[in-house]
Amino acid sequence: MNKPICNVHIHTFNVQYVPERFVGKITPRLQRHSNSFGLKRVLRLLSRTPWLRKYAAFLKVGLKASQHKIFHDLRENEGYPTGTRFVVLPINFKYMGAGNIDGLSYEQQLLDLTKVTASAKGTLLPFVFTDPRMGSAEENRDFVKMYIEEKGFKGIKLYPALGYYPYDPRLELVYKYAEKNNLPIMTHCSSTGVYYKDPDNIPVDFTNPETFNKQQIDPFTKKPRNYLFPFKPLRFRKKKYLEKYADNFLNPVNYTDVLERFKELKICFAHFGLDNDQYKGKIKLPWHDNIKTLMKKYKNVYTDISYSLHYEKVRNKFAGYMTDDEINNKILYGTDYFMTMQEQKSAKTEGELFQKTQTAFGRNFLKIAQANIDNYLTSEFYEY
Amino acid sequence: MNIPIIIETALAVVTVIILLSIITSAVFELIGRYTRNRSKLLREAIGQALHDPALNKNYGELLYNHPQLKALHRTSVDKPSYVDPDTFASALTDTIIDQYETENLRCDKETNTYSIPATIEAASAIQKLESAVKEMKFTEVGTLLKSFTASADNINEVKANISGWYENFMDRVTGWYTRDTQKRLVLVGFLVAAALNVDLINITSQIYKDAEIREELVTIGMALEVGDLACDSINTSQCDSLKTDKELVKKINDKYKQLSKTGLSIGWSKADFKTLNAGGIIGNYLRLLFGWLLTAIALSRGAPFWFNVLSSLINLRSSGKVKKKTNSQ
Repeated sequence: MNKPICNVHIHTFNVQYVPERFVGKITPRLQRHSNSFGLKRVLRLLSRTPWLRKYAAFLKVGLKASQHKIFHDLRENEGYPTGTRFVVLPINFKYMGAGNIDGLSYEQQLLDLTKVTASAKGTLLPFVFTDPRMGSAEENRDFVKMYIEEKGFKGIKLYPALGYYPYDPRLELVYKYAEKNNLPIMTHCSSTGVYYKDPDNIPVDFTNPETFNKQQIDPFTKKPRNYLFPFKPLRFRKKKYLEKYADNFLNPVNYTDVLERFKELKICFAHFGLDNDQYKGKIKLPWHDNIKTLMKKYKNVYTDISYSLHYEKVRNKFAGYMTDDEINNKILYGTDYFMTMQEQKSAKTEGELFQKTQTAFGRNFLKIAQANIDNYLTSEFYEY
Repeated sequence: MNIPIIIETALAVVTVIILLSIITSAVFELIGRYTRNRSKLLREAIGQALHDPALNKNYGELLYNHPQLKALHRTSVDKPSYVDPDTFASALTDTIIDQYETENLRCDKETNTYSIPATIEAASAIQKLESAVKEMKFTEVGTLLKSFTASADNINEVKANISGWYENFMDRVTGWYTRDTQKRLVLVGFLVAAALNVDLINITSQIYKDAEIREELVTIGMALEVGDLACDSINTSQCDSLKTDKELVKKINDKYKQLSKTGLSIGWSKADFKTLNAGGIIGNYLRLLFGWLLTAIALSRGAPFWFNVLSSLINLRSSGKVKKKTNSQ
């Protein structure tokens, strides 16, 4: 019997788990006071304004009452075949410098996710998010271990743009544990997304970070590796600069420290290193090509096509990679629901995106949504 | 100085203030329907009382996710403005037990299924609740929750303890709301005074000079009953939420008509603007603004306060009449 397909990249957290300035200063007002005007009216108003439309789409899902509701609606209403599995990626927003989380803590997010998982009959595969700032190397490892071994979480989620480098020494033991147990890691790798937002509190290790495995040569440029980034405090005060600075955290080159130490580490670079500005040709980051290089060099480096797949051209480009034997076993199907609701040009709904991706990949769709994911997710604790 | 006329003038002025206070309260309530002040305050208060960052638990927020409270919402973000003590107690105990059970959920590696240990599964509600609070750290919320179970023998007693605490807590919240409301009522009162052009100085002068208007207002004042004041904004009773917007608008209209019929110079006419512009614009406008401000301050005390004043004035007036009568005998 064929194994079910899987979407390897979705989110189910709602506004209860995000900090005050998650999508700008309007978040807490929308969160707390949207009832003042009526939710539908607020969303309708936002939808009319082009630059706010994506927030409206995000809020439409994000304001749903619970993770259970978000997951249930996705599973039941978007045309996925019965039994489809979904990797749910929680995120701890506590350290992103976007204010307090007035609603529910990250621990509560995981607890609620555990409860939804328990009722989802094997269709929800939760990952545990970790951030080096949550504790010491040992504490971070133990935290991950507890969720993997006791709560049935299937992998680990990283999001460096929130303000840390993936080679942070406080993550070393997490990687060691993950490699030993063949656990999958999913890391955000696209210039688009949330990022560290506090211009008044820039930690020293942003510009002078420590690493547990310093690389002398940048494998992509073949030049000496530079860990020091120009520190211009005044420029940090500009939001745009902080957003750009987050690219330093996300750069795939950072993972060479990690992968050179943990060569068997199973890690998936989400979004294939692409973002909106690159689709539009506004900027050219080499991340996409860097990821391909890493996929070829390291046995267990994967990528997913989430979010990026909403662009038809990119979707077709990805489908073209299926002829490349060096990487076609390492491309995974994921959509980044419900973040993709911000992009409605080529598909208005998750279901439509799913259909269009199937069409673009043809018979190879099963490879990216089933066989490749089987390899990626199977670990010492879970057999897909 | 004619004392009875002064008392009657005061009585008539207070009557006007009461009628305007009722209008202000209705306007305040209408605004409240859209700004959801009451539900926001309730949510904030419950959130504050039950939020414990040290426990990484925000029972206030979790409580609002409970089906019993969700049933009181109109939409997922539209929170209730009133939660009765029994519902609160029941939802809180359920939430704590549910959290405890979820924390103890374990995944079986072989079957990938979740279950809670049999000992917890078999335990009674009070046992689960006691275990849950026992595991809590020593924090303010933890101590509060422990106090509910400490003296209880069964779950109903725990709920009764929570209900009792919640009722006391809500008394305090009502106090906060009242203070908050009074501040907002000054603003709403000012808007009402401006919209209806009610200048307290001008009106007092008119009532003092015009016996017919004075008598008419005294008659209205004497006929006012406590029932007319029910659901006043200051007294945050639940009955407010039962009124429809239409009923509130009708209430505003009725009271306005009642006032207009007395012949009192309220509302706006072209003549008012001419008078205002005629003699020294700044002086007239400043005097008018001052009059409105006085009206607003008076209205911010709320109808119940002025109703007490009215009762005292009625007693004073009656005793004066009796005394006069006795003297004449």
